Amino acid sequence: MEIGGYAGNILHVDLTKNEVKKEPVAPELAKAFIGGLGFSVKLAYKHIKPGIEPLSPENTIIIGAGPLVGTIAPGSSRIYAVAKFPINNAIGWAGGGGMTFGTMLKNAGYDNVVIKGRASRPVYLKIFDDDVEICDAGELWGRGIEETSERLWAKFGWPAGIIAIGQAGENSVRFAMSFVDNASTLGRGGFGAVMGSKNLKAIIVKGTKGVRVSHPRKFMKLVDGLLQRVRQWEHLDEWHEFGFWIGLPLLPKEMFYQLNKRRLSCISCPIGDKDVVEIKKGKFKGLTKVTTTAINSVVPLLFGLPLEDSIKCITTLDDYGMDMFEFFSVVSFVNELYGHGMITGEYMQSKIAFDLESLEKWAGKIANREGFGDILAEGLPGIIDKFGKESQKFAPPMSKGLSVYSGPTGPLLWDRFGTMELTQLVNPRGAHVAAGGSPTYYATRPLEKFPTHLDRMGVPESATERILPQPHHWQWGLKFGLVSPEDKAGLNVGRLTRYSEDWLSVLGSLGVCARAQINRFYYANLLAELYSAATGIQIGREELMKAGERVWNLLKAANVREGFTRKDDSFSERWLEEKSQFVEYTGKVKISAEIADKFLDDYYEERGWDVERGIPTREKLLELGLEDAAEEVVRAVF
Amino acid sequence: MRTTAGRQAPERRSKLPGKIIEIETHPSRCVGCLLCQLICSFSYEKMFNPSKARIAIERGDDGFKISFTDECTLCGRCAQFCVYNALEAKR
Ligand code: SF4
Ligand code: SF4
Ligand code: SF4
Repeated sequence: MEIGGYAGNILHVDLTKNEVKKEPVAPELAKAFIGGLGFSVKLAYKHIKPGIEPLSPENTIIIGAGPLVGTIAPGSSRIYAVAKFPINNAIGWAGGGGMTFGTMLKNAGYDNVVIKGRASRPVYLKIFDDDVEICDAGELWGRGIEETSERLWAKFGWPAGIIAIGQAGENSVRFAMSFVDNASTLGRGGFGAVMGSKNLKAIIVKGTKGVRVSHPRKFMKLVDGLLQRVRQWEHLDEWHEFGFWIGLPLLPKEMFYQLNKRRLSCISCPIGDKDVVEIKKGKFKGLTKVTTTAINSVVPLLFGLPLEDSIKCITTLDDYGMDMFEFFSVVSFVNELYGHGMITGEYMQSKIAFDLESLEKWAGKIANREGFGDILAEGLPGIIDKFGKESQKFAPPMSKGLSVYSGPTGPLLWDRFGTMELTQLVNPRGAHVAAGGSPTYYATRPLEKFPTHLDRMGVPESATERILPQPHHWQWGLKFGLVSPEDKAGLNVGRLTRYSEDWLSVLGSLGVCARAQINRFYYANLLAELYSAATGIQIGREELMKAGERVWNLLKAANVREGFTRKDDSFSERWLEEKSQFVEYTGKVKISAEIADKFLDDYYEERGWDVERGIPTREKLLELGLEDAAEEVVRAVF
Repeated sequence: MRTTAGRQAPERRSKLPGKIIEIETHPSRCVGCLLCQLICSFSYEKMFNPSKARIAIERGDDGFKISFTDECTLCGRCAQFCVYNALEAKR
């Protein structure tokens, strides 16, 4: 495919047969699915057969970088992986700031990599331009993510993009993650375990072919404008100084200096918010660690660990390649079960202490599946299976097998019910905040600012009316006696979530970072212009947003095929219970189960889906040109 | 604390008179974004290709090292695009 932006090839790797082959990207795929996340979803729909076991050779990993990845469009380095997740059997996506990976993949000549089968021994996949090789990873197996990445860089040099797993992935811990360049994370739902089940320790990619754009002048004019706005941004200096830390005003700036070492960036990003943190005093003085954000390294403070121990604890979890939210969830859960006498001395002799020594010991037991760690490694659903239905009521609030981590019960403490909260329920992959993150992350944003903001995200005007509080649209609030007709409260989070997801879908398919600090500079029209200039394929704002919608619908259809329906999107009672004190976006109305359910209704309705079942209708899928999916969804449900 | 003195809009910088005699580097500010390599390769090779850039960014144990190849024309475009002030064109 001789279109700008795209590398033009999909690389297929069969680890069982030890075979690699190249397939040209079909031009008709480009406009309909854009690339990156879109291509990955499309390929997953084709290659992941319904009903397969996630940790079997039949599961397929698809990794993609969109048409803007590798160009100089600011923050365009995002990569998206799709696979069937072992935590919940969902066809899940995992996105990460690509560091050097996406750019190198495109430079090597590939938009996507499709990996299936299982190698007969530990291997790593080496992709250096046309030289693609499945190499022996005996020397790397059993090592942590940092050491694995460093060894590969020592051997092959930098820049080279690396996706690696640690011991948790090797041993199929169902919440194992993969790390990109030892910095960004891929996959709360166990993407790392899928790599491990394939005996695939790492992927390393280097490329020298370059990425061209179809209309260089036009493209650079758009990029110049963008970079100028970035330079003029009043908060740029603060972001360069503090990184993501500044995005969470609750964190004291003084603490940042107690752990900051320096900053890292994904290729092409003018914000550069990846952190290198350092322990500056005590027993572990001098330990440095690369992290997707310094904020992660202070999460254990919530459980009472001192700062230095907190950094050390996260270093250990990251190195094993284990999702920290799930780690803390499973540990808290078994402690609660132990407290209620539901776990006996056969498994645990006492509660797991929340101190560094004990947490590191248990992290090791889980990563290596030793003793009771083997059960914890199955994640929340596995623990419930083991200790019976009765245990479920003590489980932390969860959605599709993963703990919901932004909300009044933490660990991302937040009492407002916004898109970030709702998407944790409706996201086909399970509890994850990113798809609802951009518009309402700073949920105290005044409502007056929303119209501009929604327009930026490509929301049509007609929908804006339904999303923003209109007294006459506030009927359900009135019905429940929660608001008076004059009350200006409310933001229809249900309807907004649809557009928030579509926006992520567009950004992800193009390859632009989804973090608010980058995507704030982009707007739907500009993205359409950038895509057109890069590829030479003319696209308008509506068509681009439609492609985003198409991608999300196909992802949902893939999950309906696996048996997911509205019941899987439901609220955990515990999440909404009295003490949790969730309040509606503007802080005026307390969220009840009825309101939450109404948000779900509105979400499905705004998507044009079957509200009762919570799945795409045949008409919607046909409207989006997804004929195969339309047929299969009907077959799966009726 | 990082100093941000000297950050200027790119169009203003390029209008400054005089020939660039040197590009001063401040490796401690470098974050590895490779914006410099992207713009350099684009300017001379008509494609975004870090491996064809005339500025080299190397990853060391404790940060990045910056150097230039013999082909560097001192055009200063990399410095214009380095948002982190790790490159400064001297006239
Ligand atoms: S904002 Fe952070 S994650 Fe996103 S591209 Fe920039 S450095 Fe990467
Ligand atoms: S010199 Fe500047 S533009 Fe180049 S990699 Fe370093 S920070 Fe980025
Ligand atoms: S001064 Fe010009 S030629 Fe030299 S490295 Fe920078 S952009 Fe390339």
